[in-house]
Amino acid sequence: MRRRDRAIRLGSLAAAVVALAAAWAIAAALVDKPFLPPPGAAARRLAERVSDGTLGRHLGASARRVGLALLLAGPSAAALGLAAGRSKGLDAFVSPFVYILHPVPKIAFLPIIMLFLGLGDAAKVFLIFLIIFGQVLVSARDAARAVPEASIESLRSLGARPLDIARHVVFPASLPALLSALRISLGTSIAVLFMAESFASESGLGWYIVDAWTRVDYPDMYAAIVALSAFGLAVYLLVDAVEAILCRWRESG
Amino acid sequence: MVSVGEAGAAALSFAGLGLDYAGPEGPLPAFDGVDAEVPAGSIVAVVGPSGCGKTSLLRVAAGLRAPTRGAVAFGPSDDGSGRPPRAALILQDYGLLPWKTVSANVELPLLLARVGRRTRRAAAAPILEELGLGGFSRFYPSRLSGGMRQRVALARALVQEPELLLMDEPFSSLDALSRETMQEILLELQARRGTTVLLVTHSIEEAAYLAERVYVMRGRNPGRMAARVDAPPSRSRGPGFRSEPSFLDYTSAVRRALEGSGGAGA
Repeated sequence: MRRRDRAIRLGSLAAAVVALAAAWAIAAALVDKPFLPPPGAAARRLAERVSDGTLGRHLGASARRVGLALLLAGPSAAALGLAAGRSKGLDAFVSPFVYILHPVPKIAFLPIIMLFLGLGDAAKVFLIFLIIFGQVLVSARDAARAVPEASIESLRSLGARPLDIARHVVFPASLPALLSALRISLGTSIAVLFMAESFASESGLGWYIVDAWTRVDYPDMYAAIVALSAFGLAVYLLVDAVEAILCRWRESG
Repeated sequence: MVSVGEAGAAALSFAGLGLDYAGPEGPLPAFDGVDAEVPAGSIVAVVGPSGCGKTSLLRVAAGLRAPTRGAVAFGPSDDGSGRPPRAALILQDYGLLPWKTVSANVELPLLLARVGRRTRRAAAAPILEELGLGGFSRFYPSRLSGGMRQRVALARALVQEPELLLMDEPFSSLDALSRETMQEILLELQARRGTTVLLVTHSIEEAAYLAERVYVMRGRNPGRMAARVDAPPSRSRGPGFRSEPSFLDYTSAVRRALEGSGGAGA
């Protein structure tokens, strides 16, 4: 059953790629301008840039920034959010900050962050850190609040200590929401990374797209855009795979 | 109070027990002035309409809440902590963790007591077999029927080798047939192990069929213990009891007590 689901998902993914490529090819033929090359030209350039290592290097730079931010923000935001969801005192302290800061698009902080942290990687990582941290914190807090009281009480009656409850009830009950938050915030991160990398960088897919644009090398630009899309897709598939392994209990209903 | 070791010693007793919840306009009493005794090795039921505080009473007995007034005593093995020694609580919705398999749910109390993996397995396996769950140990609860979930909850309680089993509406959400099967399973297990059972139910028939003593609660905020009805001495155990005249007398006495025209044997 699960194998069939996976086959269906891969099939629909392939169909979407074909449909997008077809739309692109038709549009390119209709427009017939250098700034919209046909998908074949972009694909050939993509293959070239992959084999000469250029895209790999820039993709690596982007992935490293996202990965580092995820490592720093994910566990800490999840822990703080889950704790706030279960503790009124901590929540009263955390929530006002969340409500004030969460609605502001984090990209708005980019100039300030760059003034403080400079133009290097630290600023970019910190910006993505803020995005992931905020989203995971809010989702974790709400998920921990929604944990059924009966599950907690049942565990308490079995002699569980607070850390046991965190480990056996609050964390597993919130895990699907945490992974959803990761999916959302990683998507936002990649979008924001493009902006952050287009300033004062010399690496990253965002920088490469802008650089190709200024070089008026449109096939190169599209090759990098396709690579960025593939990166986003890979991240989504990775989160889905983690969810399929860790949240197997949800599929069996 | 009966002395330790004597036949019929109380495994659990309530004296002047009362519990208040914090309400918007001051304390809201759930129940008050509750006196009751559960003899060791017996099954005792508490019946009453919804809102009479019977579930709250069970929570206090399980040590999940401290009573506002009065005291709970746990008989010979009371350690004075207010928490029942070797008691297992089965909640109305079974309290299974959906993200744990059947065997992980059953082993959970041992895991929480820091028992090693092999010992946990060894303790859970025979109980799973005994309850007909042997082939389902790797299933998640969502794939089981209500009756099977109830059996998992029972297995999880039994793995703790409890002296006292506290059950809240244990069989209320099962269909009639599974309910009767579970009642037989409970009677059988209880007879084999000599566990003391306190169960809360709104079903007069269930209380009369399972319990040798029924406490009737009435009123709300606070609910009070209105009567105590003891089973007829001639009572047999097993499915035949339902068709005996004494069963009818027993249920009628409980019903009368519930309706407020006085209890028998109180």
